Amino acid sequence: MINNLQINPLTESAYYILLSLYTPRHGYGIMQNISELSNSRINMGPGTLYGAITNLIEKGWIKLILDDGRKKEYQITKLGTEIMKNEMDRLKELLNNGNKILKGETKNV
Amino acid sequence: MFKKAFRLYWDKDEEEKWLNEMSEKGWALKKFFLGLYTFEKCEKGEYCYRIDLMKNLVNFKESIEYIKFVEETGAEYVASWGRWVFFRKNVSKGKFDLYTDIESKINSYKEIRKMFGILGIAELCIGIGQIGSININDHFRIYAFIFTILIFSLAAILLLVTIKTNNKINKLEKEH
Repeated sequence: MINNLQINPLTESAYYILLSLYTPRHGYGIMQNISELSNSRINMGPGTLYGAITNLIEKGWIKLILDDGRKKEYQITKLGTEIMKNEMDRLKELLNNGNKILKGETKNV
Repeated sequence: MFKKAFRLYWDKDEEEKWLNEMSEKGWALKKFFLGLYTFEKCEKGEYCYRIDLMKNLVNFKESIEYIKFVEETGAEYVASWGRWVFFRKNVSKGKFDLYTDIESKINSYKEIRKMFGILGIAELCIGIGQIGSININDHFRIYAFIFTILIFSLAAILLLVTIKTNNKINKLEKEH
């Protein structure tokens, strides 16, 4: 079922936003967290983040949980969690196969 | 101290470049109205400017929310015009880019292409309609003629910008 919901691999931005929202965060909090997680490799711009958040809400993968008029806080949904797990399995597969073959090659050399 | 300049930009990237060059020289954009830019003295290179096209006009709820969102990240709203918005960030607060991945960059250019494309085609239709209204026997036909030429020129500019934006999208998609 989930495979029908998520046909394409997640983008790096979507992956890290979902991951950041295991804890409720506001926009700037998400940006800071992603920067920390990636050791400052990804410094997401506000335009990119805003578009991604809008898109993820539309898909029902994250939701707005607080809006006090000043700041908005978001959190991952159950569906979003499923998508994340699914993507992690896919990534694991990629990594495992890569490791298997590269290690095999090293042995042969 | 203030400085005013009048310019017409069709390309937001060139406009952005100019605003950042002005900032390098110690002039920070403060106001914008119909091609009239008002600058205020600042430290040389104090600000980095970015221009964005929003989905809606600036007074819409969605646009206000977007501006708030950008401001929350340490940037400042400077001015707006229709759906266009000018932001700046003090360089001491770090790098300032609105769009940081290829997909969102492409999407933002697609929005720009759509807007100029629709305006260009609308202008072209008005121009064609205008031709029919030129009455050969009318004393004022010369004015109607000039007016039609102006409308067609505007349509041509708008469609050229659309093509230029389309080329930018193609270039980004190749990098993708």
